[in-house]
Amino acid sequence: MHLIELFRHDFMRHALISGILLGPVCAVLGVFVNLRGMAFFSDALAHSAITGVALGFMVDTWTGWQLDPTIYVLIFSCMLALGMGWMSQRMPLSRDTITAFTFTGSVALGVILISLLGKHRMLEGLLFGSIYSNGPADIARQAILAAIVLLFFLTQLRPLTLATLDPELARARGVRPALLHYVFSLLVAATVAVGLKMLGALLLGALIVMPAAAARIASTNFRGLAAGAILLGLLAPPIGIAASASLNLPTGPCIVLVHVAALAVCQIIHLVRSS
Amino acid sequence: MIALSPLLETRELTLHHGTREVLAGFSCTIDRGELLGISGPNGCGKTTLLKALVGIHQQTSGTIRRQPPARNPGYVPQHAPIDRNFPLTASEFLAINCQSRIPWIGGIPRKLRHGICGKLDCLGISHLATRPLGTLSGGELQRVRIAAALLEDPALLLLDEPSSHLDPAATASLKQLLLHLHQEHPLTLVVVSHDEPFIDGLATRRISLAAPSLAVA
Repeated sequence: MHLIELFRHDFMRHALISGILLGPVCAVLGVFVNLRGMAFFSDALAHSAITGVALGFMVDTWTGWQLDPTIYVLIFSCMLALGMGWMSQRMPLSRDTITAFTFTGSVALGVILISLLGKHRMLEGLLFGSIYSNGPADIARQAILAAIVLLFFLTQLRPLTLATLDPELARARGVRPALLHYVFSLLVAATVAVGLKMLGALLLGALIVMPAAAARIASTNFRGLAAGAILLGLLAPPIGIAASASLNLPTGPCIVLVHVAALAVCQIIHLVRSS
Repeated sequence: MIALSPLLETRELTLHHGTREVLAGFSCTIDRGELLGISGPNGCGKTTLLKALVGIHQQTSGTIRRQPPARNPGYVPQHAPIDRNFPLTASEFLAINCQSRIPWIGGIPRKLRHGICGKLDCLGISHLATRPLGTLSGGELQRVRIAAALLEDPALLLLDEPSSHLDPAATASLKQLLLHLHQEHPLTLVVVSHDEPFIDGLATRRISLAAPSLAVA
């Protein structure tokens, strides 16, 4: 079937819109995930989202509610992000160590809960996502998330950049770095919750980290980094979806491989410039 | 010459760093137009005192009275190692230090360009405007940080260990810059340093803090 014909189907159009909405959102968050050394944190949140889904199933089973799993993942991811922030300020351990034990602990809990619930088949969807199952409600959630992230960055980009570079200087300028860190962590958690369906727990971290990582290699100023990351975040999902549909390959991995290719190209550009 | 009158006063100031008391019963007056040097050994509370004067460290007891011009001071914190790959140019660094409400999405917003370029020019570092921070030498980076602290034209500029991590040539150049700023601008400067030779010949008055908490004015 011709590629254009494929996009006449609702599921393909929904997947494309999801990619175009979530790609830049993940990329712009990824700029600061990279600059603040939070790549492991975002990856850990994505993996731990499995537990949010499992806990949601348990709550639904006990209460008879039939809430959208995204709501449970959103609540669980936000609590986990806040919890990790709280612990990093109060425990004599590095942020990485806290992320490591929180993430492995919650994934272990999630797998046990899924096992107890007998929902083993659900694991594959959670791990790798299913972008073609996105419906209008998912797209609405993604659009709301995109609007919130856009508003945050339009108003807080300057203080967030200063707080990332030099927290003490930021405090002297009236910025509250700790509060900004919590708000930023919550936005990453919300993005993980909303994006889980698209790429799954294993690959979602790539959508956040890789566009900014590639742009960072090739840029020497902030404007170049931000513009490059957003552009890559915008282009990679449609290219990945088109490649997946044309070659009959899984979509999530195709999108991630587009990002890997972009990163390789940026590294080549960097090497050429350096020489 | 600017007439001497108090710009900032501290009375019976006691400061803690964590649970450790680093300064007790410290009183001093900083007059308009002076260049005050605060020296002392490591751990005597110099940095904590400067942060309290800036307003980002809460005193345990005592008072700090700031005259209106000293309520929004310029501040150059102690050298913190920056990520050499942080993709920010010198002019972008100044842009993120502006307290303007103009949205910033990288680069220099048109409305801020005049102020930022003027400040870089004033400090003789216009040629560094498009250089990434990570490629600047210690002395160049320190000048950029001072330019950022002067963006809002503060009446009071506080610098914490400005000569640390600088080689002798850069230290001498920085000393000349601070003297120039003090002479050519209506600026009161407070410089904290454990580098006694740096303070000598720079400060018009000096306070030596003794470890851990005895102050000799």
